[in-house]
Amino acid sequence: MKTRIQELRKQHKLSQEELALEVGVTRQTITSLEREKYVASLVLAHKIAKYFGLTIEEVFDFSEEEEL
Amino acid sequence: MEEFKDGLKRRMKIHIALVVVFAIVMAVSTWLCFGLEREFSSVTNTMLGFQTGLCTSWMVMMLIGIRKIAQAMKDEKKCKMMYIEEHDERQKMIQLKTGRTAVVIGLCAMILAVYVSGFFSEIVFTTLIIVLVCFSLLVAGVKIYYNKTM
Repeated sequence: MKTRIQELRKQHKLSQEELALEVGVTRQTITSLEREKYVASLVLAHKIAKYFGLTIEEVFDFSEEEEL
Repeated sequence: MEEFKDGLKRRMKIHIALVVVFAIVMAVSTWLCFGLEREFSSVTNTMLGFQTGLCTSWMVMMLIGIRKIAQAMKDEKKCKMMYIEEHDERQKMIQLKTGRTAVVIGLCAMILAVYVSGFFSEIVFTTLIIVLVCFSLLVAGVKIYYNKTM
């Protein structure tokens, strides 16, 4: 799933490690999300979106899933 | 986080208890082996080797665990890192997928082994069939349990 995590992280001048600590996951999970290798759970998506002050839809791109 | 710290204290006690249990098991195995060595030397030596190796590896794992827990209990940052590592959703997903894949591969390998062993030994064939049936029943039981509870 496409996400804006990397873009938002760079805007906020955050490292993967810092974001991971803020949302309570490992750095590897953030890496996998940014590389589109892993789809975040609803809880994690909510935590990430809330951290950046955005809605889930503004961070995660659901267009591919909606096609199904 | 406080719950996690309480859990760590409990886990520490369990780890220490297990180290003691494994040390006792090892001591008993050694005593039994040397007591019976003259009668069944090769068998008991092999068994002792296996049991000693198993107990030692478990003890080492428990001791590493105790060290990790002790460090986490002293340092707040390490405690948080440990909490994150243990509750990371990607790690949980990896564990689930690993288990599922291992079960499928294990069952397929066992079916193949049953088929091949049929050409060579009836005892091995029967043993593998029993193991295969028990393992399949276990998988089915666990699946039914999770279907009902989730």
